Amino acid sequence: MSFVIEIENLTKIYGKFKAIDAVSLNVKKGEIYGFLGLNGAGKTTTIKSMLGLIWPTSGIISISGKKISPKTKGPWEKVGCLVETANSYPELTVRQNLEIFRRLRGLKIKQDPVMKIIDKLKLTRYTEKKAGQLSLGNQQRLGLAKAMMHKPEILILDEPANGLDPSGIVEIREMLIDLARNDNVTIFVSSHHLEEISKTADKIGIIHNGRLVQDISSSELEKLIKRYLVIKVNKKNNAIKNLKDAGYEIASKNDKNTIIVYNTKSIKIREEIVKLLVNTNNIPYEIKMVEEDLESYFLRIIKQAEQ
Amino acid sequence: MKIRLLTSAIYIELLKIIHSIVFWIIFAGFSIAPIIATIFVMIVRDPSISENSPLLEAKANLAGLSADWTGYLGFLNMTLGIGGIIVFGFITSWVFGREYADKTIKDLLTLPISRGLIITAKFFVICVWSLIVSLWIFLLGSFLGWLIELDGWNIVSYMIHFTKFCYIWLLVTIVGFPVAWFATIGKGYMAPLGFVFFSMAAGQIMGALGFGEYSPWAIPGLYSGAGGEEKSHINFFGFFLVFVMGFLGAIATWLQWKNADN
Repeated sequence: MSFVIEIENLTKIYGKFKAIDAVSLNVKKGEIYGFLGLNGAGKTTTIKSMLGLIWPTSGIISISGKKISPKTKGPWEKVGCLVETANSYPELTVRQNLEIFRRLRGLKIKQDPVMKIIDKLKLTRYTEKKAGQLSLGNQQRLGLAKAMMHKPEILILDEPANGLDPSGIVEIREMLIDLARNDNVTIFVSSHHLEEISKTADKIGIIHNGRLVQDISSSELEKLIKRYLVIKVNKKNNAIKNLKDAGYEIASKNDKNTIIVYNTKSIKIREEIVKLLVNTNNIPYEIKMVEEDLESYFLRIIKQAEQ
Repeated sequence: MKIRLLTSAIYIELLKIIHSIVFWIIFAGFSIAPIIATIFVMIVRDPSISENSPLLEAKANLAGLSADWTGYLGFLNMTLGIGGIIVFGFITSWVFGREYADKTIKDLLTLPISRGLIITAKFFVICVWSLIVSLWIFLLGSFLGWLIELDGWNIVSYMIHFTKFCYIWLLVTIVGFPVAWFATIGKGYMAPLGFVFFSMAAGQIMGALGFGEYSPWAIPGLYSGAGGEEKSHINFFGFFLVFVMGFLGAIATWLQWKNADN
């Protein structure tokens, strides 16, 4: 299997601080890779290493088959990127800022890539407005426009939804999905917006304290997300004893009636639990199937990694 | 292809400069030099005009200029030789430091254009910008000199002073190249501006101690005549030092962009 992005044992050490610790991951062509992590987890350091903005202490990064190192020419004509916040030359207009990148990327003026990307990112109203006067959301759009103007094969985006309003977030999400599905663009996107990533990514990596603690596909993630039954009974202690005796993993809430039973994915198990409670005279008056949300899952994985 | 990209990079650097208020501030700031020279020469010529300002008169006398074209143009040369270290240092600090201050460096470094080419374009526009400012100072000075009807006009002497003025521009610009490296390692304006003031002070102190000809930052000032006529004859080693300093500054900047974390 050939990968467009290959990272092998990437380590970055600043003095005594290990910002990234042996991170390895691969991204296939046309795949959207969601890179999750708390602030300071190592997302931006990884992205900066991928883009040759900083150089790894050890490890290998290859993008589009080209090794990223100070000695080699990177595949930058194929890559579009947005790192940290979107920054532009504040005294120049939106058009001038994009014109700079058109020229430096050697794009032909005939095809008018500047106005096309301005239209695509809905910046038409602000074409002649100075970048320094744009709202945070529009500055982000301008940053994305710079990243996407040359129709890159690979997009590396660090928190692209920063500063965007809800409709903007949806719009960018749909744009990214469209690029991956229809134009086969490989997208590596970092975020701490878990919901965003879950709606966009084909594969998800979770980084914590510089270590990649999970690297799984969305379908695998689906399997790993815990589902549990929330049961309300009148005689709680009695019900807990019976369930424990039957070998179920349970937890008790602080109130008088609620019991949580884990590992209840299959309908058969749920039926068995209800039967058991009925047979032991603990008839539940409320029973609810709850699915762990991505945020809880993320926090659980991080907690596990810390242990 | 490389030439086309280099021209694009130069065009873009010029675009950034022209649209920046800093460009005009530098012009306005350095324009003070010929105005002061004109005021001083007027005071030297007619001390009665500074009757109410003995301090100004003392300063004008301290400058030691004669009230004619030779003295006036010589003073302009000295202004460039000494003041240029600061003004051109500001220019270099801005051209390189702004990419870090505005956080646009990350966009530049991920372009399919060599980092060396971008740096070359930046040094080129620093030279152009400082040349335009220098020429403006000389032209404004010439105009003000004509306006106050200075004595001793001589086209040959004027051209000799202008040629020297151009050499001083070259020396001051090149000796300021290490400022770019300080902007790069300091990732902003503070480190390069600190270095500009250090180099200015180092030049003055070395000059005062009699080692000016061994200090690259003192050489443009000495060559301009600020240390007296006899010290203005800089030997080959002095010019060599200036060029070595500039070369090292440019190479160090390129290596920093290429090999260090940015």
